[in-house]
Amino acid sequence: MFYIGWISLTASGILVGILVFLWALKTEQFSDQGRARYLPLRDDFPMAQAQNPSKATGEVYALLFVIAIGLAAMATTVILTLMSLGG
Amino acid sequence: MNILKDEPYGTTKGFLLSSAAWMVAGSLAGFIGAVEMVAPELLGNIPWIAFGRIRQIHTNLVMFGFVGSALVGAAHYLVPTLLRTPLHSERIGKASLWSWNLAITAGVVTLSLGYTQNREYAELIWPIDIGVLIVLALVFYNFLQTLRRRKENLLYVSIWYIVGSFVFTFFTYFFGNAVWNPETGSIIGIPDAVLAWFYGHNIIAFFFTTLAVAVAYYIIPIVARTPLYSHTLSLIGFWTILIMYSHIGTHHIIQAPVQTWLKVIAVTGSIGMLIPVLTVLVNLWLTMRGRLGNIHADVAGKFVFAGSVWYLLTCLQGPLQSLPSVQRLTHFTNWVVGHAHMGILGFAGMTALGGVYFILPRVTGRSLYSARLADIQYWLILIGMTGFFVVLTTAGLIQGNGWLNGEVVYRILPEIHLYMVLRASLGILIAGGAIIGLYNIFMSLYGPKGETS
Repeated sequence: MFYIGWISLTASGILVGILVFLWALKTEQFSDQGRARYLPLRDDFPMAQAQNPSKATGEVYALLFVIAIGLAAMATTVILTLMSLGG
Repeated sequence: MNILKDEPYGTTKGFLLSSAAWMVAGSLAGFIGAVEMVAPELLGNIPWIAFGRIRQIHTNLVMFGFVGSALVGAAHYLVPTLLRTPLHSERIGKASLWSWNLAITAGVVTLSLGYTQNREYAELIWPIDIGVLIVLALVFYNFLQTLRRRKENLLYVSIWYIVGSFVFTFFTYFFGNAVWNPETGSIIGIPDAVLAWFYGHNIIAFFFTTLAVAVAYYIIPIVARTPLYSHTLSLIGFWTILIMYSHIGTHHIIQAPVQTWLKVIAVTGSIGMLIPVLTVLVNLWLTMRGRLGNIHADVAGKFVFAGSVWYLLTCLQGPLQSLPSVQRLTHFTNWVVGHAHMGILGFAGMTALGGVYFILPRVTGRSLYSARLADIQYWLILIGMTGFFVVLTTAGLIQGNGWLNGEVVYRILPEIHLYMVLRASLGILIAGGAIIGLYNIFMSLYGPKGETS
């Protein structure tokens, strides 16, 4: 009957979550989402700026390559899984 | 010497430097382990670096020492900055810093001497567990008091993630390490497997993931020079991660005789996990849209963006490997080791490094010692991590496919030897990147004034 403890633990986590959610409603945390978007932008430390911000750099192509490899690896895993099920 | 000296951002600086030092130690420990996989006799069976010990030292150092220190240090910068309120107590922060480092040091020493609780990521013995719990409680208290005196009433999403992280991590660590059983740090039988993976999964979910996401949500709008795409969407992600992520650790033991209903919950929750993950990625990427040049003009933005790419891949793989049919192929193989490296080094580690390089100039008041060295470190880690992923995934598929076809372990081992050589070679890139990072971060803190970034 160990899962009674497991369910109690999960339920207590959900209860804490509900209490915090109610606190957030009470303190109007969800009332001004437009302003919340700008909160990090108070940072005024000087930073390097790209001459053409929309231009994709070499890093972007490198990361697209990483994504392609990752998806290929997952596709291979799925194919081998299906083959093992068929066999 | 006053180790609890009250100085602005002293806690943050200490955690960031600690992270850099532990990254060197952790990656070297990993390299030793990788060499032992290639040539088991090479290091002469020295007991305190035998594979069973050095592997645990490596994972604990990288997770808690490198990534954990960087993220906790970043949190000590983000909380006061976003709340427009000084940290409640730098002295408590410093006490957290020293206790954290003491716990990690004690962990290395005890693990190397063979004192371990032998539950994955929960290996540290009871007295160290208590030390970690004290640190988590101190950090939470410090943040809570800062929160109570805040000048900015509205909580940005990063604050939600950070405060939530420390609440959930405290309870995850307490229950997951079964601290009421000091002798073993565990309970008995299958229930302990369930508990151990409740811990193993949630420490990733509610410590590394949530803190890394908090850092990304803060840095990306600043580096892209535009407001966050949607704060509402970010909060949906925060609340759904609490619902989807907290109870699915059993997907690590689908092959074990655990109750079926628990496995069903774990698998369905794992697929549902895509909701919070995609809210984060869609939100961050739409914030960056049309501004990738700005993101990559800043080394911190570069690290965080790469972290988000690894987050995507990790969280597509996670639900995939929770499926029982897929797990028949991948379980107990190097495929899973590749996945772990993606999550901790690729996603959380690169995001944490982004946090380090973003925050350092802001707490020292001067530019990084060398943006070029940080850039070199970026490429070493990106290439090393991509190599790890390819090599470990391929080796894992060879193992899994061979075993499913009736091959025995000792016949498969020679087939993956080449991959173990490649893995150790790639480890040199990661360790090299770590050493460069330590030098750069140390010089940024204590060296002469650096170049303009």
